[in-house]
Amino acid sequence: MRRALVLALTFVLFSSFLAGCWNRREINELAIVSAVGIDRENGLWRLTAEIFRPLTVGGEGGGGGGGAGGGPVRQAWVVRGEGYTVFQAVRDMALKVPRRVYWAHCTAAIVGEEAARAGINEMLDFWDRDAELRRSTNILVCRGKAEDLIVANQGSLEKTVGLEVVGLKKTARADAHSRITSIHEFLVALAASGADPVASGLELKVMPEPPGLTPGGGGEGGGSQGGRGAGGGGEVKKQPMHVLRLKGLALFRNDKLVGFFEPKEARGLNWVQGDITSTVINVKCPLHPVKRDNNVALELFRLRTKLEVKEKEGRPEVMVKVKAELGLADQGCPGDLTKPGPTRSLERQAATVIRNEIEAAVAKAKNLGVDPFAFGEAIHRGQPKLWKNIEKDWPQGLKGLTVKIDSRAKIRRSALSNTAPQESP
Amino acid sequence: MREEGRISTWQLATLLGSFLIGSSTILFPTAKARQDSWLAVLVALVAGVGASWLWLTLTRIQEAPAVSGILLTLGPYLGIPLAILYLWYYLHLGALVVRNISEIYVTAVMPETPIVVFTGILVFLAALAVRGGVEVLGRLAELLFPLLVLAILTGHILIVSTPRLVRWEYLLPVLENGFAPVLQAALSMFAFPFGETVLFVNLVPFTLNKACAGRPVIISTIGVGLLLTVVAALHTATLGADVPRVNFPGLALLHEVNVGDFVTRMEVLGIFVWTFGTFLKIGVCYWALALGLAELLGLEDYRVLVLPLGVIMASLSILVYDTFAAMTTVATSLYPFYAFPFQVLFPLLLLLVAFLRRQKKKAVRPDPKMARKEQ
Repeated sequence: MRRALVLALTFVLFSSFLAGCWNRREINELAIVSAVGIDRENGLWRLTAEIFRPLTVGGEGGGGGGGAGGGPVRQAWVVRGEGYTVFQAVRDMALKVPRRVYWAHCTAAIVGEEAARAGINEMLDFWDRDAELRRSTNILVCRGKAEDLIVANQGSLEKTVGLEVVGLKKTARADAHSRITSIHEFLVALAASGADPVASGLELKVMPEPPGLTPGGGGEGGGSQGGRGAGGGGEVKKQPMHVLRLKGLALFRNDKLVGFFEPKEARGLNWVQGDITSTVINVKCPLHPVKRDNNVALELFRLRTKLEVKEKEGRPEVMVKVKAELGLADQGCPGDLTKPGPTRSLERQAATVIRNEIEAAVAKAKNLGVDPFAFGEAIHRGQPKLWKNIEKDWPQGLKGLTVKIDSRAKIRRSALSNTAPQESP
Repeated sequence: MREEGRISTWQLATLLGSFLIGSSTILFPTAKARQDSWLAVLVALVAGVGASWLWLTLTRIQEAPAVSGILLTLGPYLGIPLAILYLWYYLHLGALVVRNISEIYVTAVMPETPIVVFTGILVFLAALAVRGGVEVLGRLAELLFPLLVLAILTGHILIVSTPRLVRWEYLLPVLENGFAPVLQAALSMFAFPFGETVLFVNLVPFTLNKACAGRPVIISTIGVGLLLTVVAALHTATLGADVPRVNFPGLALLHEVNVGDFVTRMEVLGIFVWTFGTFLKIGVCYWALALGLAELLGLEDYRVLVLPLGVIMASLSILVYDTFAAMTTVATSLYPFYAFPFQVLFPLLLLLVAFLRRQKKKAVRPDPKMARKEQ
């Protein structure tokens, strides 16, 4: 009897443990942040959080249902927080959001140019220290204010800026003129003495949009406005639409933004780091060198990059060896480019394009006194003793570094056709 | 005997393996060696095998758990103080481990829950296991150890398969600053966890096949040591120069797992390993403490001591550090020196005394054949 009582009591007691967590958080009590813009203004951190709008997320066509064809409606709400520290700015939002602001799903931290130039150490530290934020968050730098970008973006296919960045991170790999890095990569480069971090450059682009497809405003009242657009089908009125675009790379020295790589230079950096899955190289058609509009596009299929460090008269010398495997993607001139002669010319041109882009990037980096290539780390690994002497004034020391480039290209195949269509024998 | 249970050699080996995995992957005390931390683990492993050999020899001579062994060897005047010191070490080590795992819960998993909740639940569950005796611990280890290894392997395979996360070149250059920092880090790594296996002096006498206990112990130590070496290398290969700044490198790595945008956020694997690994480690410390105290006090049964000792251990785990910073500082710089006597010096002393006694016995006691003749 007593045993049964004890057992029953134990079950009752233990079931209270099973009921849930200490601080349970139901999804309908959370405000989930998708992306955040980070700005500095008069010594204040100004955070602009883009929060998923819970009513529309998941509800198929709920908010935008009235719009013609359910066009892309941004399903987000934007809230600002201000404070003298990043954390205070984050907490400031608690006074404005009726739900607990939840950061674990924040996929993009977009840093405004001004804030980036002033230094983002505090923000990085907060990101890595706080248990709710993640090192895998992507970090991007936008020209101008991050707040404007977050507010004005109208979305294209995705519902929030955060989701767009996640998508762009993948698609950008098919072009290689930019690259989205995570805070983790940023921190690793920051901690290394022979490397400087980079972040993707982001800008807002105004695109004309055909009527009827225009999403209604910032999302609010999307239904009614979209409906009107569908009703007045005859009316041709171009409304500008704000969409995101990746552009180049932001270069940091320590935690401070010092400049940007233009898209070509950004690709130069990507060549050196061997981190390209695919890209397009434009060259001239060797059969008709003087004619205009005779471009040939080559597609990159494989890339192998090797950094070799040698010692020369007590100074390091870096040799960048790039081997690219290409395919013929399109040609604007008649003639057979698959013959050995023209192929070799195309290969030479492609190798030159690669070399020029790397040289441009290296020149700019030397000029700015930053080492986004991690040449320093390559020397550190290859010639540790030499590195000891030059570690102290490293990114400046890059200026005197000889960087030799050995780029080779090989065209392996020409896809489904061998010549351009307009050629007649 | 106060402990009736017996464990198999396989259970001994798995218990030792779980003990070594325990909390060691939470705080990796090898930051000093930077990219050579894996080398530091290897060096510590070699030293750890030496230490295991030391206490294995001790168990072969004494054939009794630590406290009665100490009393037998040193006699009451020297033996009782040393036994008390060892019991304190068991208690302290148990408390430190309780604090380690509770600390990771409080900082990284459930920051708003009071630490007492984790400490209390963990020690209470450990108390239940310890009351069950050594057999329960052995069976738990038999059950959990394969899962621990599986979870560690899965976690690390996922980390390696995450694209562009692991960069093995971060491990270069090898021995950049010479061997000194590696040795320093190895010292910390030896004290925590390899040297701590000295607690298994208590377990070997309860193994079914005592004569064969040596091989599984050494194999288990080497196996887990190599696993920890890979873990250390992977920490460096992922976090690069950022390792020393990160409080829980293992957790940071699992944060980064992303295989096909589908397998993400695998922190739970780490939490699983740490929770059950430390649970077994706490269980061993706790059981050794209760048994040893019962031996010292001459009690019939150690089970009456289990709950009170648990309360002390749980409270000590909260009192022992004020701050997280104190915990990491102690674990890396102070603990090796504090633990050295318990892990190496005292066992060496005991071995020496036991050896001398044996020699003396041989010298004093005449040959049995001769004795018979004299009669």
